[in-house]
Amino acid sequence: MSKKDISKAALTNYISTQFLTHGDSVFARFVESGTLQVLEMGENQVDKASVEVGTLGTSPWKEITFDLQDKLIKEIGNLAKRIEALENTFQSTFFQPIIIHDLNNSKYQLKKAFQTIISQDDNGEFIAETVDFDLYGTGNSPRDAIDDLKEAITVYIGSLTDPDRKLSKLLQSKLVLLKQFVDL
Amino acid sequence: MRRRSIKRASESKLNSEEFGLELRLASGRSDDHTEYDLLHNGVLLTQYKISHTSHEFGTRLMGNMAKQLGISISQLRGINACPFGPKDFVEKSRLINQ
Repeated sequence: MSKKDISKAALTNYISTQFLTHGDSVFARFVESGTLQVLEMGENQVDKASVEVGTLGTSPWKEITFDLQDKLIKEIGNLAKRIEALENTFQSTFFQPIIIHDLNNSKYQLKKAFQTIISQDDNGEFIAETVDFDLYGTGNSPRDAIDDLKEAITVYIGSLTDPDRKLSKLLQSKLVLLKQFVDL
Repeated sequence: MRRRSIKRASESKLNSEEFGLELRLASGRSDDHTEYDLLHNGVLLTQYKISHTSHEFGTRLMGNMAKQLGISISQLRGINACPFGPKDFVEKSRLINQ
């Protein structure tokens, strides 16, 4: 019999796996991609193992389904907890669309309003972000976040319209877009 | 991720003469500077903002910051920790490689 190097990834085929106890060890076997795989299972994990199949003796392979069931039940429990956590996050997340009609800056007049979304981060901080540009503002209230975003937009306009500045192709296209929003 | 550490790490790793990266404070902000201009070989790539309102950044804010740099949140965490350096940024950022 030849030795087989087994990887942990092979255990994805749990369902059709058969198990064998031999001394203190538990071995698992299954067919993956048409090849018989054998691996040694530790107490809590599957170890990379080089298994001499011939040393496993003559004990018949059998289904030890309770191990599998316990693991599946535990895994399902973990998934249920994660789903619940995601649902709680989603429910507690505050999303609100806001339109910015002016930048509180006499230098720049808007030709078109900025569409923004306000959300709340997991630490409670409010974030206002533009839909059309990768800009955001933060604050302890939605109003503060919007004010911070307005400042960020103003600084952004200053950087993109600086005549001494070379712009990447992406920013050149953003400048074209920006000119639809701001009278420059 | 703590604000102070990401600020320090960004200022260090996104400034590299060898890889043509320069992170400059953007001009025009009236209060505490939070916006940076990131340049690669003298060309402006993006405006990168490090929020000053919170000491500890949440996941959503991290997402916004990573988006500005054209990298993933885990890569942004890598800037803060050790593994992600200027060479990685130049190779991985969508702002340079798209």
